Amino acid sequence: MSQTDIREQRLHLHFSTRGAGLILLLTLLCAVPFVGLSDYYVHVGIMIFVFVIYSSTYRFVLRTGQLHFGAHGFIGVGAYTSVLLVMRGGLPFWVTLPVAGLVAALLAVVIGYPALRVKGAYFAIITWGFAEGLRFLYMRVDDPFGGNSGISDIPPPEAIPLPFLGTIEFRSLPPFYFLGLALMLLTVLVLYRLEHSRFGLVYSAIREGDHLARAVGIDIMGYKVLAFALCSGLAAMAGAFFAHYSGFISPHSFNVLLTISLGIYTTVGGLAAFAGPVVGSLFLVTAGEFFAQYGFYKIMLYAGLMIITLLFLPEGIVGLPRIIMSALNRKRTPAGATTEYGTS
Amino acid sequence: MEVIGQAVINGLSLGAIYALLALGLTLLFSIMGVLFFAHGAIYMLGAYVTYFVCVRAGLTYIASVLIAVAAMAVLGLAIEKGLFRRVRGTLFPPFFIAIGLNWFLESLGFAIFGVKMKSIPTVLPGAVRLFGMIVTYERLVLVVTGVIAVAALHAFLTRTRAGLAMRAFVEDPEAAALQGMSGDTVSSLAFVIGCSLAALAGASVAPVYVVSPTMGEHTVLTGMLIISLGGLGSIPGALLGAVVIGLIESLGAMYLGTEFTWGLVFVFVAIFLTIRPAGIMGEQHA
Repeated sequence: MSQTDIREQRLHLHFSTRGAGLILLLTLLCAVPFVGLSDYYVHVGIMIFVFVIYSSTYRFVLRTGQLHFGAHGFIGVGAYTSVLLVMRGGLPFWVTLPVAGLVAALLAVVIGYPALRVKGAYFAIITWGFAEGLRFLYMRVDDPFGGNSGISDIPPPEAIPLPFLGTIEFRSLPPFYFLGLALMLLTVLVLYRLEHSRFGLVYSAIREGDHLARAVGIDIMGYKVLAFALCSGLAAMAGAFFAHYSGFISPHSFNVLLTISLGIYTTVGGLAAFAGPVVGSLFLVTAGEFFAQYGFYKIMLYAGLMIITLLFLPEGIVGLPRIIMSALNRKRTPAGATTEYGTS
Repeated sequence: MEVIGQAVINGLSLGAIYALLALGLTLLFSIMGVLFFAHGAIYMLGAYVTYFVCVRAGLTYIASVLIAVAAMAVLGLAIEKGLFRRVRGTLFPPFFIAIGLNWFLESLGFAIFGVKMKSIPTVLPGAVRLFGMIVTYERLVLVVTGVIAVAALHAFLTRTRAGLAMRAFVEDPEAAALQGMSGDTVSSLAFVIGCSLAALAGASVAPVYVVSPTMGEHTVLTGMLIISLGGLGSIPGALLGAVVIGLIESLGAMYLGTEFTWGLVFVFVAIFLTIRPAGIMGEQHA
């Protein structure tokens, strides 16, 4: 058997273990509401799903080379659009959910065309200013935005009638859990397919050198606006879901701390890896909930954990296995020895 | 007319405080390439150290300001050596470490100093009539402090070897390193200067406004807006931005209310940067 054959076999094995792992993970995720955990854990699960959506879309915008600082603005647009259409317009949630995403995506196109021309801190300030302006609109205008005190008593999604099986009523946590899970899987799947396609290569090219990318004929503005609109729309749908889940929104639910948290989840998890924001959200949302019992010191503990991770894991938590592996390898093979992947 | 004059004076003294903060921020931005969020916490700690030395330990106000500045300079050095030296040159880790540090120091402030606001009794009572307007000595001192600090920083950056080294480093780190300048020293220096300026700002506002653990939160955001408006890394831009935002805030607070003004300032800066991304004084790269 030649070397390439072995490689190929390994590749197959690798993919099938990955597939099996995914199926196992999905089964575990689906089992969570049924194994007798208290509602609190199901709630934490739902929050993790929401934050995975937020931070994965956020990372995708960062990966186009844009320092996005207004994610909270788009999430807020999604939440307010859906809530107002349901409560004032009388539309069902199942209609307003995609509409909320669409409205946010359109807004992202309008903002994106002028703003995506600039990069770095300038783009950050522009998107932040836009989001802050919206927040301010919600705060000052009582009708219909509810002003400073926000909107409460938001109705849950309408029941879904299932043939032969009865109806799914959104009165307890498990239906919300599965809706959140479905939205998260949809988002992750869309972003994963996009990143591992020709589009992903284009975005890498734009990030590494946008003048060069333009020189080889890539319409960089078009691609950037597309990513910005898609991510804003997906995040806005998660925002709408969150609004109907929690039953209450206010301008303070969507302040800049939200965007900053997304940045932190992404960087702590690992910016370069697709799984980074997923791992980061899981790790830090859980850590935040765990530290909540320490009351006064929870922010210090949380911030300390964050600083330590950023200092010692430059590639994020996702890079941890590699660091451990290379430490182990260094022990096993003498320095300078050739390994399968080159010199260690 | 008199009311407007009063607001202008208030705006200028606010602008002086913002200038002290913005100078440090823009200096750190030009060295690190990221916005240093923990600046607000340093400002808050500077005010608290002043309060404790002045009110609790009973030293004179001037002595407490000096102690606060020295303490924050040491803290700045420790922050640089312990945290930022390890991640210099990367983009996201320093930014989020600064945010984490800000949260850490702020909640430390809550833990140590409590949630109650404190204030230092007025140091310089009295007022003077200038052009028919009543200006308290305190506000006058704020403006003078700001001007002196700016002049001192300018002299440092243009007249001393260390200052020139810093500017050279900002211009081209590699060429500066080849000339024998140490990046570590330059970055330590930037942190020491930036944190001392923030402490000076905190110590100066302590007798005029109240001291609370969250006092830096809003101020550091304003500082970020100011340096972006002025042009990131540009010192004259930071000064100009500080005065512009100080005046807008003070005039706006009089006519529109503080919350409305905050939104207005944001929208103003966002629109300005959309039209001219490099800010007032920044170089047009984008």
